[in-house]
Amino acid sequence: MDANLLSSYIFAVVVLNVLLGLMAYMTYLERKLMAAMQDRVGPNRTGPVGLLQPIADGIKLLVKEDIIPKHADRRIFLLAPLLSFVLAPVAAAVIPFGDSITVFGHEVNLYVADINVAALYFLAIGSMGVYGIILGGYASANRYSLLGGLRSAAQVISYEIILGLSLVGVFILSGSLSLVEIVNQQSETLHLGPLQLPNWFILSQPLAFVIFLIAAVAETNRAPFDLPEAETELIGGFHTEYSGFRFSFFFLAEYISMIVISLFGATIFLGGTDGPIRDGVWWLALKAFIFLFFYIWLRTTVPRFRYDQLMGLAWKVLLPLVLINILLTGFIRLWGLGML
Amino acid sequence: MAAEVLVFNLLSGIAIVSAAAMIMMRNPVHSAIALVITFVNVAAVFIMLRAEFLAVVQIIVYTGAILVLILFVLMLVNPDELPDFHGARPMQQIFGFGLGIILLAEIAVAILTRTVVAEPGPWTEDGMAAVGGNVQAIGQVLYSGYVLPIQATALVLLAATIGALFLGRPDEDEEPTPSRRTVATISLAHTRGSDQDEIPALSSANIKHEAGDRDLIMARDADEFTSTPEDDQKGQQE
Amino acid sequence: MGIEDRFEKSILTTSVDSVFNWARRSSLWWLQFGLACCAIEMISAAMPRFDISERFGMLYRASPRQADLMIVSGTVTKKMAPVVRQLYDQMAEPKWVISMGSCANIGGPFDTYAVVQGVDQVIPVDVYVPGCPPLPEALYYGVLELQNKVIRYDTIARKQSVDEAEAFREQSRAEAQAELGPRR
Repeated sequence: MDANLLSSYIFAVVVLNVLLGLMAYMTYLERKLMAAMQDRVGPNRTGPVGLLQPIADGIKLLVKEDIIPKHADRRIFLLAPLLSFVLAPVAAAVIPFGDSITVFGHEVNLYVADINVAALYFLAIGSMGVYGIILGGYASANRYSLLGGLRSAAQVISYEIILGLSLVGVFILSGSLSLVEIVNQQSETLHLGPLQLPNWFILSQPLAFVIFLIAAVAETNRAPFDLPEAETELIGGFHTEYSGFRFSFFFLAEYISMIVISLFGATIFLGGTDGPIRDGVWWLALKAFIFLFFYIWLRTTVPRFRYDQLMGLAWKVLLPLVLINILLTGFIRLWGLGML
Repeated sequence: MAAEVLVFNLLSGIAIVSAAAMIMMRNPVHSAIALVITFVNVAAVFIMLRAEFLAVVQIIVYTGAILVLILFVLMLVNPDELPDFHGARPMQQIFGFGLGIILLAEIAVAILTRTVVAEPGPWTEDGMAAVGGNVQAIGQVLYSGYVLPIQATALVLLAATIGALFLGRPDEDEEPTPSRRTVATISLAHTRGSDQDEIPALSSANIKHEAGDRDLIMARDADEFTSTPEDDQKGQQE
Repeated sequence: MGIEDRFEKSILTTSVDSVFNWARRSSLWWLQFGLACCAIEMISAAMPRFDISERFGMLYRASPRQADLMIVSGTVTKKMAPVVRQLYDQMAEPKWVISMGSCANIGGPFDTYAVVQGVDQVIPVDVYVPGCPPLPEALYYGVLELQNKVIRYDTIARKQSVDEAEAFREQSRAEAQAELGPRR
C-alpha cells in the first residue's frame, strides 16, 4: 500500500480517538464551567475533582436498558443515532492540524486529506448530520420527538445557508476552498503602516466571523438555538424516546460536532495553527477552546429563542447582512486591493 | 484498476438498488431515505470520476437541502391522508411498464451502439491541473462560456422566490388580528382607589375622547367596573 | 436477553458489578418531576447553594427514558397516581425511587378520599425521606443513602429471590427492633 495513504489512515484513527476522548472531557468541562458561572460546585465526587465523571456516565449509559417503543419505526429508530454519531467526526478529516512531521523516517502530513473542496466538504457533511435528528424524531412515534425533528429540519436548512454564505467572503479573499491553502495564506504577515498583524481572516472579514459564530451555534443545536431538544417544551425533543447508549450517541454527536465546528472556525478565521511564537497544533487547540468556551458561556447566559425569532433572525437579519458582506468583499477584491 | 472497477460496481449497484427501493417502498419516509442513499452513492461515483466539486454540491443541495425539505413536508402530513402510491389501475400499470421498458431499451441501445470517437475537450486531468483544480475549472467554464445561461437561471430562481413569497403572503382582505382592546368601559360609579364622594363629572365629549375609536360600554354599578383607560395605561407602564 | 441476572455470585460477577454499580452510583440522573410543595424544596436543593443537580454526578433529565432516579416530591393524589406509575414504567431499568416528604411516604396529613396513602402503593420505593417538607439536607442524606443502596445492586449475578429478600427484610427488622428495645 502507498505509504502516504497508510499514514493518512493512521492519522485518521488518531484524530478520531483524540476527538472521542476530548468529547468525553468536553462534557466534564461544560458541567464544571457552567457550575462556576452559576455559582455551583458541579460534579466533584467521582474521582478527584470529579474527573472520572464522563467515564461513569458512559458506563452507566452503556449498561442501561435499551428501550425501543412499540410503535416506533424500528429500523429507522436504530439507524438514526448511528447516523448522527458517525457523521459528526467525519467532517474533521479536512482540518489541518499543522505542517508535516517526521515519524520513524516517514513524513506524515498532519491532516487526513487535503482536497480542493475541503470547506464545501465540511458543509456537506454538516448538512448530512441533520438526518440523524430528523429521522430520530420521526421514528420515535412521539409527538414531542416529531416536533423536535421538524424544528431541527427548518433550523438547519436556514442556518446552513447562513453558514455557507458567511464563508464565501473568505473564499473570495483566499481564492481557494482548500483549508491547507487558507491556513497558509493566513500565516503571512500583514503590514498596515507601522502595524504588523497576522493575516487572519477575522481581521478582513469581521462581519462574516460574527455571522459564522451565530450560525455555528445554530448548526450544532446548542443553546440559545437548542429548539429541537428544548427540555421545557419538548422534553428533550428528538431524543425523548431514546434511552441508554442510543441516547448517548446523540449526546456524543452533539459534542463532537461542537468540537469539529470550533476547529473549523479556528482554521478559517483565526489562522489555524498559526501563532505568534512556534506555530503548531497547540495554537489550534487554544483557539478551538476559545470557541468552545464561548458556546458554554452562551448557554449559561442567553435564554432560548422563540421559534419565530429564530427564523426571523436567520432570514431577516443574517441573510441580508451576509449578502452585503459578500458584495462588499467582491468589490474590494476586484477594485479595492490596488488602493490598499 | 480492478479495485476501482469493483468499487464503481458496488457504488452504482447500491445506487440502482436504492433507487428501485425508493419507488417500491410503501412508507414515504422510507422512500426518502432510499433516495438519500442513491444521492450519496451517485456523489461517490462523481468523486471516482475526479469531480469532487460536483459530488460535494450534489450532497449539499440534494441530500442536505431538498430531501430535508421533502422529509419536512412528509412529517407534517398525516400518513393516512397521503394518496395511495401503489393503487394504479391495471391500464396505467401496463402503460407505465411499457414506457419504462422502451426508455431502458433506448438507453441500452444508445450506450451499446455508440463509441466515443471525438477528441477529449480541454478539461482533461492535465487541463484542470493547469488552472488550479476542479473548482477553478468549473468556475472558469460557468462564468465565461456559460455566463448567460447562469444569469438566466439565477433570474428564474429569483422570480420563483418572489412568486413563493407572493403566494405565501397573508390575505389583505382578511381582518387584521386585533392587537389591542377594542372595548372601553367607563364607570359612572366611584373611580377605583379614590375616596372621593363626588363623582367627577364626565362630559360626553370627554368620554368619547377617552374611549378613542373603541366601543363604549357604560357601567352603572361599581361591581361592573373593570378598568379605565388610565388603569390600562398605568398597567402598561408598570 | 443479555447477560443480566444469569450467574451465581462469584468473584468475577462481583467485580464486574462493582464497576457498573460505581458508575450507576456516580451518575444518578434524576427525572425533572415535582408534585407538590416538596418540589419547591427539591428545586431549592437543585439550586446553587446545595447543587443536587450536578454535585454527586447527578443531572436532571426531562425525559423519563434517560432518568435513573425518580424523586416523588409531594402529595400523590389518586388522580396523579396513574401518571406517576406511567412515568415510572417509562423509565429504563435499572431505576430507583426516592419518596420525599411525609405525603409521599404515608399520605401525610391528608387522610382523605383523594390522596394515596403512600406512594409505595403505586411504585416500589427505595429510600423514604421524612419531613414536611424535608430540608434540602435531608434530601441529600436520602440521595447518599440511595447511593449506598445502588452500590449493592446485582447486574450480572442472579438477583435475590423474593423469599431471600423477604428473609433479609425480616432479619434487618428484627435487628432494628433488638436495637430499639421492646415496643412500648
